[in-house]
This record gives sequence, C-alpha cells and structure tokens, in this order.
Amino acid sequence: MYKKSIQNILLVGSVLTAFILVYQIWFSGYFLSDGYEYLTSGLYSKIVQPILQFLGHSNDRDFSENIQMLFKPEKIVLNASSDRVILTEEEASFNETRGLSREVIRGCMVGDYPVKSKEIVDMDTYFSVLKGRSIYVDYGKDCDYRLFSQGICGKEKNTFTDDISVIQSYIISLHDGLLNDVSIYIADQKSNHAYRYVVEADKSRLEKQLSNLMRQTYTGSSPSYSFELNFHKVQDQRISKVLFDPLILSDLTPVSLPPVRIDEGETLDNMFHGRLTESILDMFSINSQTMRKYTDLDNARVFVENNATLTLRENGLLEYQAVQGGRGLDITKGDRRANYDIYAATTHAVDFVAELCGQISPEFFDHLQISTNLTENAKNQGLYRICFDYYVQGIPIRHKTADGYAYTIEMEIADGYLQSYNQFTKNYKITDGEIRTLPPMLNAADMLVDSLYDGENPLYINKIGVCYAENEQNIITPQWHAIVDGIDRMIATDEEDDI
Amino acid sequence: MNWGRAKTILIILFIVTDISLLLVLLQTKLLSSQVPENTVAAIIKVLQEHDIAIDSAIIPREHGNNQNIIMRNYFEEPKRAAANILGEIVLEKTESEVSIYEYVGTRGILRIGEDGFFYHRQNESKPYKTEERPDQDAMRNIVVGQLSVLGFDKSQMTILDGMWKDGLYYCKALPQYQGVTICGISMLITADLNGIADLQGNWFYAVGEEDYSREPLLDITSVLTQLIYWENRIPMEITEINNVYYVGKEYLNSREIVATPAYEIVSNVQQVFRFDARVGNQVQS
Repeated sequence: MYKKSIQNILLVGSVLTAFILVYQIWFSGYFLSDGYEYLTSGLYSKIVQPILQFLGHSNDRDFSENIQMLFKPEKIVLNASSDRVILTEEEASFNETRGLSREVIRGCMVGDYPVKSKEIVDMDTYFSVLKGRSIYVDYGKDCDYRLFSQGICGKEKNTFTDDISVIQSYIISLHDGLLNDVSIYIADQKSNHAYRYVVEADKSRLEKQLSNLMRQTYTGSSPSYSFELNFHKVQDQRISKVLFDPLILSDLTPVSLPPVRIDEGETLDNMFHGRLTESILDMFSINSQTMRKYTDLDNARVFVENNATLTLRENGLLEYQAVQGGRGLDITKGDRRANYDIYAATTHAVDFVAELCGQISPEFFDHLQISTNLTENAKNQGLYRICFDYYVQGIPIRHKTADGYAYTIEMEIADGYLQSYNQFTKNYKITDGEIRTLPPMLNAADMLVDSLYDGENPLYINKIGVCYAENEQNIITPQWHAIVDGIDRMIATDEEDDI
Repeated sequence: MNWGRAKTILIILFIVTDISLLLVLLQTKLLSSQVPENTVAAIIKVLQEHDIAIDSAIIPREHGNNQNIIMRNYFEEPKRAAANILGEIVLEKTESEVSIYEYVGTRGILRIGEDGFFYHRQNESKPYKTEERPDQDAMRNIVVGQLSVLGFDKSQMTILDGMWKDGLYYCKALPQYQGVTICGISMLITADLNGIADLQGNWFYAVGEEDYSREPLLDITSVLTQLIYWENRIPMEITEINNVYYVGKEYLNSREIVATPAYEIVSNVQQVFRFDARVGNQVQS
C-alpha cells in the first residue's frame, strides 16, 4: 500500500515535471531566438491564453454594450401640450424613461413595430411635434447612424438605415395630429431631411406610461424651446445679439448643484509606483527593454520609446504622444484598415478605452460618456479626434489646463494608429457640503453676449449646459458652459475663471 | 494487466525524459548567455577584411547583466546638495520657475541649473610644484577623498583622464555601479594642493536596479559587425571592449533616470563607440 502510494506520487511528479520543463523550453525564450517566437506564439494565444482568461473569469463587455454605455442621451424631454419635464441622468425617472424610449426605437429598428408609412417633413413640422404628447430624446451630439444602431439594437443596419446617416435626436410622438398614431421623427443631420415614420405600436400603453412619468416628475415649471420663442431666427424689428439652436430649452430657474470632490483611492499611487505602471506600459506596447525612462523636474514619470512617449503626471494625467510623423500605437487588433472611417475609429477607440479603464479603475468606465460628434471627417478621412467626459450624476467634469479646458479623455486616431491619448484618471463623487446655485441659463447667455458679441454678427449658441470645472489646484466648481459658433466656452459666473 | 509494473516502467521513462529535458534546458540557457567561439572567430575575420584589427582575448564571451540602474539626481533637492558641498550657506538666490539656484557658502559658490552644476572654491588656487606631484593613482585617490568631503559617495565613482597642467590636476569623475561604469554622466574636476578647486557637470547616484535577466543581451559580435558599415571608417585596432551602462544627455535635467546596458568599444585612434546592448543601435558617445 505504502509502495503503491510512493509509486503514484513519483509518477504524477515526473509527469508534472515533464510538463513544466517543456513549458520552460518552449516559452522561456531560450530555445527560440528573436524572430522565431511565432512558432509558439500561436499555441500560446490560441490555447494557453484562453484557458488563463477562462480561469480568470473575464468580464469584458462587447462593443455594442460599451457603445450603449458610452453614448447615452444628454436629456429626455417629456412633452404634453404646455407641460414639459426635462430629465437628465441625475433624475430618478431618467433610466425608466430611457428604457421606455429605447424599447420603442429598438422595436422600430428591428421590425417589432412595423413601419406603416414614411414621409419627409419640414423642420417646422418637426418642431411642432414637440408641442404635443411626445418624448424627445436628445443625445446632444451627432452620431454616425451605424454606431447609433449598434448601440440600440446590436446591428449596423436596420429599418431606418437607408434614410438616416447622422442622428442627434429622435422624437416619439403619441398624438400625431391627423393620424392619432405613434410616430417616430428623426432628423438626418447630414441631409437635413426630417422623416416621420408612422409605426404600429401599442399607443395606449405608451400613453399610460408617459402620463405616469409626467405625474412623477412634473415640477410645475415648463421651459420653452427656442423655436417657440423665436430665439433661433434673426428678427426684422430688432438687432439679434444672440441666436439659439431651435431645440435649446430656455429655463428661467436657477440651477442648484451639489459639491463634488476627488474620490481618493489607490489608483494614482498604483499608477505611479505599483503594478499598474506595468499594465499601462503594456497597454501602450511600450517595451520595457528598449524604452528610456526618467522622472522629470515636475515629478512626472516619462517613458520614451522610438515611436512614442508616455508620461504619467502626479495629478493623474496620463499622456501618450506618438513621434511627429510616426505611426503610434496600432489599436485595430488586426482589423482591416482600408477605407478607415468613423465607424472603425469609434469601435477601436471604445475598445481601447474600455480595456485601459479596466486596468486602471473599472468603475471609471461607468462614468464615461462620449462628448464629441461621431461623424465623418470631411476634410481628412481617416483622422479622428474622439473625446470622453467623466460624468457625475449626469454632469460632466472638465479639467483646466494651460491651453484651456480639457475633456477627461482626448484621443487622436489616424487610420487605426493612436497618435495621441490624454486621460485624467481620477474618480470623483458627490460629497456633503454647500449646494452651489448657478444663475438661470438666460443669464449665462447674457454673460456670453457681454464678452463675445462684436457688435455686428449675432452669436450662435449651439448648445448650453452646466458642468463641473476642476482647476489646477483641484478645486471643483459648477459652471455654465456653451458651444458658441462651434467653439467650446466656459462661462464665468463669478470671479474665478474667464471665458 | 500488471499495473504496478506498468507504472514502474512509466516512472522510469518519465524520469529519463525529465533528465533529458533538464539537460536541454540547462544547455540552451548556458548557450544563450555565452558567445560561441566559432562566432568570435568569424567576426574577427570579417573585421580584419575591413581593416579593423582586434585581438580575440578582448572580446567578452559572457553577456553582461541585463538590468536597468535607477539613478537619482544628486541636485534633486538643491539646498541639501548645496549644504553638503558648501558647508554653511550664507547666501541663497533661487529662481525655481526656471530651475536656477545659486548659493554662496563658507567653502565657495555653487550654481545649479538645467544644464548641470558649477562649483568654485573661494580660496585662491595653490598649484602643485612639479616635484611634489603625486603619481596618477595617488592623485586619483586624493581627488576621490576630497570629493567625499564635499558629500559625494566615493564608492560609487571612478576617476578618468587625469592630466597635469600648470600645477593643477584635471580629471573626470564618472559614476559606477557594482564596478561597472555609467557613461553619459560626469563631473569635470580641477584639483590643487588645497583640494577641489572647481567642479562642473552633472551627477546622479544609483539607488537600485531593475532586473531583466530573463532576456539576454545582444552578443558583442552583432554589435561589432556594425563597425564595418560606417561610411567614414578608417583602419584601426580595437583595444578595449567594456560592459558599461549608459544615459542619454537629454535626460540629465531629470530627478530620476535609468541607465541601460551598453557596450563600449575603444580604438587605438582614440575613438570611443557605444552601442545599446539590447537593441544594438549606436548611442551618443
């Protein structure tokens, strides 16, 4: 019995030892010199890595889920004649409303709610729908329709693909005047055509849900769209110093925001001194063997390679810059590069950001939203700048730098190569403290006029909203910000900052 | 079936296999860390065909350690460095926005900037008389001792290129780590009878290492091959090959840097070439 046990132990031991020695010989690099690793790399990537990943219980989401998380509506407006409710992510009913509207639009896309008829309408008709019983879902930026479709129904093409190239918002109308049907209105930002799709849907259920939501959330104040106030057109009788996008909602109530602070955690320390540095270097394919590294006078850790420089700053800023004229990091993961367009660039950008955030801080990703338009670069196809904001309860945080205010993540991609990547890696959270109150939106617009109006040409406000601004001393204050004539502006409501 | 006997046979087979695999692994590890003799002979022949003479004995057969040396700037905290060098500080003038610091102390003056440091002793220069001059080795020891009085760690440096002129001794100090010289960082020294008269340059001291020994360095032979491709190549003899560490001059205004392994090749016509020992490209001399 004892002898059998010894025999069994010896047998198992010698078999295991053989496996270990074979692994050492094949994968240690001693046996195969540089350039011949491909002989075992396939074995490693196709068999060993999947097993390791399985054992590690990988929780990676796919692109469709990621784009759904990163591209949420900025606001949803419930309209019922003169009553109006604006819902943003901080509101309790936002997710329920978003779910409802998403269910409807998705149903239309995949054919669950068949389209009975379709027609092109003018913009006045489009606007007039917002005066009736409707749900207006506004994403706040233009998006290539294929990406939008991917986020909603998991497919690139659907019912509306032939008509819509670029989408920013859509309207679900529950009382469509003449027809008393459920209709979907979508304005294609590329062709400037607005489409009405009459669909077969359970109107009474949707009406009931809309009524419930209105009841839960109505505050008594009903802001007006700019088109209702004619703020979107130059007036004959008077000089217009400022014009608003027709769908901007004018609210005369002040805005109250809770204070926000940095969520101190181990991330920054790990990034500088811990295991996270190696993971980040790996993500950017910085070869620890060939790189040069140093700590500069500002205590930033700098890693220099032939093709790029990676800098980790004490304030949590991660900067990657490819050498001028060089290619930078390949983020396509083997995808084809021919006819590189915004769809490919966004796919690769989202995958890269998801993976990097997974290394740095998984909860960080949950706060991100894409902030820039996801549309084709007419001047230079193949070259794209994609930016992300960190949101706290539906409000973005911007970071003051020497060059102005920066997004949380800014990346430049050229034909699948990452040219530059900047990311502020800190997490933030709402904290206890004094609530700050900002003046109403129209007051903020007045301040813009005071500082920017040149006396001749009216300013055009494409977009206006609140944000948190973090300065170089890490003080975070709420502010109004706007896109004026296509340029991002912070609006100083006290003496701290200027435009 | 007699399982007991089958197991015994299997055990013997696997043990024999394990021993064979172990021998293969050890042999490949050994071979990967050494340069084969036939490779050495081949490179000598190729170099000779291109008018570069080299003695087989000076070609190292073993690779150096594949490790980075982490080095901190001695002047990272300017005031503390100034106190070490000058003794008591009597005057201080700093422009920290542009990283310029000037100190006056009981010993002399010290100026620290982004391009390095400069120290000048207050006392007048006192040259050695010719008959009083120590020999090179002794003078190097004196200089090292005097540098340690100024706060530098004498165990981490080597003194090179010593020469006499007008009774003053001029030389250069380079840092060392575990007996291996670190190139790219240096102090130029002027010494007289009273000690160190002038010092200027850059200085970093080693604080640790990062080990990459699983990846072997390049063979010296692949680095030597590059010499034959030079456009302005002249006939020469290679007199020395050294394992060194190297730091690029563009990093010398940093708080902390990393020195990487390099090969230093010295010729009989006073040319010095340095090559990165991991990728083989030439680095600045």
